[in-house]
Amino acid sequence: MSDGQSGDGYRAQTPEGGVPLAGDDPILLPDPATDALLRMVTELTAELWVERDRRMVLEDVLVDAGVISSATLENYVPPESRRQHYRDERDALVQSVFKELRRVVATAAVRENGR
Amino acid sequence: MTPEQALIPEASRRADTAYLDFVEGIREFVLNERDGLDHDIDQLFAALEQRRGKAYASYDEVAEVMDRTAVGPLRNRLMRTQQEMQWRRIVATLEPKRAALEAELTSYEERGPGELLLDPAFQTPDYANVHFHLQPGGYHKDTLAGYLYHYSTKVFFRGLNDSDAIHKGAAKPTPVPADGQVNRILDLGCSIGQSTTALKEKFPQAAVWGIDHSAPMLRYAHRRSVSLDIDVNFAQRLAEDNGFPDGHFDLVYSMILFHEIPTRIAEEVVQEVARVLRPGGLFVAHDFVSSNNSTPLQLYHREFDCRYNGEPYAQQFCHSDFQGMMERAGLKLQRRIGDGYGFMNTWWAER
Repeated sequence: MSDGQSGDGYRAQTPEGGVPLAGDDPILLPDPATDALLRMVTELTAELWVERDRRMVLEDVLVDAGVISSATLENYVPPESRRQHYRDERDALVQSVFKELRRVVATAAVRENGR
Repeated sequence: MTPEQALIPEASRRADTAYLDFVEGIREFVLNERDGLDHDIDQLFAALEQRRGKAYASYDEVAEVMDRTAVGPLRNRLMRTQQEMQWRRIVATLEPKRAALEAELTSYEERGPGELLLDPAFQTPDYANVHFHLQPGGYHKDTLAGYLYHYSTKVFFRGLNDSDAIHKGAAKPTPVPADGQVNRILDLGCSIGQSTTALKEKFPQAAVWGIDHSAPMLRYAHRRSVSLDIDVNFAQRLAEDNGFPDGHFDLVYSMILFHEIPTRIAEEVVQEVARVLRPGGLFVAHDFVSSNNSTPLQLYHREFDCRYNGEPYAQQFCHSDFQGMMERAGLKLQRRIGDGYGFMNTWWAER
């Protein structure tokens, strides 16, 4: 197991000795890419659950209030202004889920530049 | 909703509540005793031991299997990730409320019941400069540390301690000295005061003091006990130098303190416990089991927790001679009890 950013982080975190602590963002799987993938899947599932929670609550509230039916939701076509908002939200989701890939690139850049 | 549940900090957004609920779900997925990933790993090792005809006898043997099968790194990756996700989102969800929460702490400082004694000249010892459990800023650097910690324990205990059930359950069987007198109690490393209030409920006639090095935790503890209308006191003092008179307390109590301090300090704390206990007074400590009583698989999990979850001193404590510390301080061990979960012990000692 490697420790990602360690060095000074270690000493600051263990002023009286003890077990050396891993620094920020340790890599725990043998392959950094697989490590990042597991983190991405976990983050993705969290985002999925957040959305499901929101949707379930929203639909239940609206149906209970008699505002909409499930059929109205299924058949809705958004105007262009809302479509742009949805695209922005989509891009933010992709950034959130796939940020680990950028971390792998940044780490590789540091490693390669140090050679 | 119980009064204790009503005091758990609220997220700023429903999405944050859902996200942290998911993190709690990940912990449940790994830790569920009947159906979790750890249960599967236990079963795997049981099967391997049966096939080879002998138990795994050392940490190194277990680690070799964990690495070879990739089971260990996968499990560790998931546990580290859920901790990182938890802290990121708790910090993010409380940050918009920072000013209001700091004002709330201030508004409670002069209110009772109970006193809050903070020391403006207090110097945090170097050994406490740790991001325990990866909490950003550790226990003392963020003014909202108490709020952050309390929300994190909701996730950590998977809801099982939302009403302080673990702290109340630990305090409930606390013994009394032979003469039956319990007028003053000291709770060491009291954090946000959950043991402190539980002790007051168990011994309503006693004056109860909780001490801790962290002012943010103590301010939160006071706000919490005042809100619960429980008359306990909090002071910013070190467990190894608590400032109370000799022989002052009938009972000194600690709930999972010792594994979070270096062994050198633990020895000093036990000496200080003996100093402030009256003759016949009792010391009750709940903490991790000794490594001698741990299986190699438990040692593997503990090593991960120490190294990757901000517990730098736990291994020292688990390899230390806690009973010997008590004996050197003049405390006589009465009982050592496992709590049934396999990772905690309770020690009762008499001065």
